[in-house]
Amino acid sequence: MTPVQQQALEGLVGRSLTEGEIIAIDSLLLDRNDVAIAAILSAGRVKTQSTPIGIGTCLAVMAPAGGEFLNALETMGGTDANVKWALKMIEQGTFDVGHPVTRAQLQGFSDKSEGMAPAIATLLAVAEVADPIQYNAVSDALNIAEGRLTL
Amino acid sequence: MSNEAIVVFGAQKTLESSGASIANNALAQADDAGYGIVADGGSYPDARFVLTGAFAVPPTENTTLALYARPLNIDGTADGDAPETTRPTIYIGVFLVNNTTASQSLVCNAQSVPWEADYYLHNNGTGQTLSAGWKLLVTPCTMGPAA
Repeated sequence: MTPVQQQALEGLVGRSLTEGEIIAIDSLLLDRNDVAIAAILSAGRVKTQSTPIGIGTCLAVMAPAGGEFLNALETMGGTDANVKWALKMIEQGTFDVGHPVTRAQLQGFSDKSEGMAPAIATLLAVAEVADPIQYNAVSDALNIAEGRLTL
Repeated sequence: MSNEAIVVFGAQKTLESSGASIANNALAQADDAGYGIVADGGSYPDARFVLTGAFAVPPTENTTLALYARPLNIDGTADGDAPETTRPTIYIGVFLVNNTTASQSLVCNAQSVPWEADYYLHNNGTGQTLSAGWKLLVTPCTMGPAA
């Protein structure tokens, strides 16, 4: 992989490539197997989307900690107005676990209560969907880097 | 019967005998020769293009290799601009690819091709590189009366 190719792919994914990725992609560049390169770059990529949830989802995905989580929110809601109203939204099924503020607050709660962390991570994952890199985007990036294409 | 319409065709010409590899979304000229309907095609307005090539890794099924033309000598000796991946200049047609690594011979029938032109092949989203060694042929054809 030339530095220019590596720079193009890192620009596409918005991060540095790992050593393992560089080794794996190197062999694919010989044939410019852009589909396989895109698959490597797509591994583990997720994006969040708006996902309103309610009590049922909490109980289902956080099991067996869902009830404990809701109880904790209820307790906190006695002194924290934000939690109080967030709980109302959960009751109404409109609590958006894809919203960045919501996710930050849930992550903060997770950091403070280690026992609940795995369950909260599961709840946060409800709003996550795969965010693969399309192979045509890989092709365009590499073609530009290799001087084959000008967009 | 006589004078019924039949297909008549001329001599086949090689536009590219062994092209360099074309990465996905890239474009390359079939640069062994251009094609003129008067000089090469007996003034037949139509043509059949045949592409033979292969992929080292199976391409995405039913995606296309697109054929573009750059018209030549359209204003005196002035030519049209060379095609780009985002602008075909003159779109001729497509070759639909099979998801196999075996050599594929693909056909594209075109009507009223440019009078004189160079031809370009665009790897238009197959996902894989068209291997070096691809070949592009053209055969002039038209409708004519039977003897």
